[in-house]
Amino acid sequence: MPETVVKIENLVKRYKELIALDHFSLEIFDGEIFGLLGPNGSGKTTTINCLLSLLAFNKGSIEIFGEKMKPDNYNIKRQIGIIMQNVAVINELTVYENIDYFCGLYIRDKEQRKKCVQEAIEFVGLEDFAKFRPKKLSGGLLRRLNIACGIAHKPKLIILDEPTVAVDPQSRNKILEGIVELNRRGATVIYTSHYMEEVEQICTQIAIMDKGRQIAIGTKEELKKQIKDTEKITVEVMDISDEQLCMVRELPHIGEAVFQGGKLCVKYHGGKHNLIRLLTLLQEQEIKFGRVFSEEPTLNDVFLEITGKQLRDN
Amino acid sequence: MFFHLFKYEFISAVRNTQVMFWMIAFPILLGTFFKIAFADLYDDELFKEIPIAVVYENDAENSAFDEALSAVSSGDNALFSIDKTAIDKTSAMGLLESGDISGVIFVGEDISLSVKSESTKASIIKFFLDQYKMNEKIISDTLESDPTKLADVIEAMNISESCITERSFTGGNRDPYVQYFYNLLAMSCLFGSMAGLAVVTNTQGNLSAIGARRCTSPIHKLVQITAGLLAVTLVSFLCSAVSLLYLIAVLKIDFGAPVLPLIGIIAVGSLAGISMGFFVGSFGRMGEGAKTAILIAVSLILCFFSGLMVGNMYGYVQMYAPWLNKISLAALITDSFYSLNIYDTYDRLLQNLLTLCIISALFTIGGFLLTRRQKYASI
Repeated sequence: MPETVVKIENLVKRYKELIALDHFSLEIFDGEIFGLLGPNGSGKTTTINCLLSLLAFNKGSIEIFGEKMKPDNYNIKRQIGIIMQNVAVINELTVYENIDYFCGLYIRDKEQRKKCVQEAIEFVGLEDFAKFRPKKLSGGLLRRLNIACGIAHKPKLIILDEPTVAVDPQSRNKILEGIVELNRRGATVIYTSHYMEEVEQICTQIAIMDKGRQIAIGTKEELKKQIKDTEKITVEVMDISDEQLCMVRELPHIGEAVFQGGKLCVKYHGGKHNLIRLLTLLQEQEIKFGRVFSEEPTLNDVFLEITGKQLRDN
Repeated sequence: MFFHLFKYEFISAVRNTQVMFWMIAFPILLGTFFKIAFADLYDDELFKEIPIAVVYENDAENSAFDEALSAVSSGDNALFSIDKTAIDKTSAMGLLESGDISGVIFVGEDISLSVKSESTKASIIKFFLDQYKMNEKIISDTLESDPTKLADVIEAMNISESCITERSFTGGNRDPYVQYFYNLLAMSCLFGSMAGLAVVTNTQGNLSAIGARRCTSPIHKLVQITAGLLAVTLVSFLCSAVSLLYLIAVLKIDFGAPVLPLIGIIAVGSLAGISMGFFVGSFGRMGEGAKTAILIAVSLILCFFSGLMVGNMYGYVQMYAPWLNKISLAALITDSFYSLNIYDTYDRLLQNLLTLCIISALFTIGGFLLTRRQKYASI
């Protein structure tokens, strides 16, 4: 059993009448890339701020590396790297100086720090921009600098709060690859986002939040198992009779089958080899078909099924 | 660790264009403007010989008057310069009309004066003539009544006593315009408050993202703030010192005191400015822009009341609200320069500097108390 890195129990945070965190609990284990997924305002950033002892909370407890987290627990803070949602760099310092400055808050030894800074610059791919000031960097490069400032001291626990907001796809991929690499090198990662694709792509464990509560937790496969529709197959067909459509509906694990606009859409509740069975039936019935699409349910479907609303704001 | 923080705070402050503009470029520009503006005033106040013409009517002669006039029209401190081209009444009146001379003295049976209009120069010429006529009358009366006393009378005339004695304490500069430059340096010190504000903004987790990142680091917040405050105090001091040296070396402003004590006042003034910025920055959750505007406004208002815009404002405040001069940072800095320049003892200077130090300490302690919180109710 891996060691517990973060343990949050019954966390409650109120802003006057608004309950931002409602008895929120969580356990994160060593080596995980833990995704906190939820729409804007669901309480992800509040959780992170409470976790870091930046924000006072009304009730509950937080332990990191087995110790109670407090503002003056520098032993814990020394092992954490934080990448905030808003870029937190000093505009008057160059890329190198910024990383050196923040790394210097954790590492005193000059030589060791120099090495760490250099590694961080290479890690985020800012070698050509080391002498640039932040204002000269594009949005994506700025985000990479923000990350470098948070990881240069090689923390055991890295917290990334929506690090890819307003970032171009190329930089986003670079950032996501970097996070996986940091995890491969031994860091436990907490990653908050409202982009389900990102969370699905990199996280080994996912908690879905809504209105300050944890509504689901597990691996992405476990989460998807929580919903009825496990697979959706769409087949382009010229025509299909009502009788043939009834035969499709009689196949095992079928939840729903409809024909509309030249497309046969079939939703399954579990089962295996669903696609082969469907295509075999179509062949037997001499139904000519074109392209075939098979979609697995997304985390959005999970969120939709649990809360009755879309995960994404747009 | 402390040096690491100090080094980067120093570099950040030096590269902060907004802070540098207010702390160094603005005082230098305003100082240059003052110098240009006051140059004309200085010129107006320098005494120059008064040009006059003397016309002898009907070939009249008056050797006593000629001698008296010659005495005040020669040497380095001559009162008059006599225009020799005016040989008759017509040419002399022509020069008077054109403004080339300030008066025409007619020497005949009597001595009379013609001036174009009432002015200080006309009054001086008239005063000279009245004085001459009075002395001439005294001498002639003495000759008529008792010629033996003539020597005593002439001796008495040569003794000129003034009721007011001009006294210099230190040999300093008593030019009233120098106080504008005192205020300028006070303003430069107070504008350092913006750097103090930046320090607190960048260390508070609820005021900036950088503050939040710093709060999550394993360095105590007070250590970070102390390093930041010391670094920006040094930057503010250097900026004000550069402004001072610019005023002395380039604009040739005479502060009436050696450079080192002046720099000492600037050091204390910079500390006061930074601590004010730190204290204001620690208050509430207003944005940095709003707090910067408050600090600029406060600095300018304090400088206004210490005489940056109106020369004798310090005196008015002293008359109607003397308590303000005792607590206003600008007034205390300005008065420190004044005391150093004018007084031969350091009592008033030391009192001002001590007050500045006490106010700085109160601001700093207040700022630390307000920023010591490590968790926030909201971010």
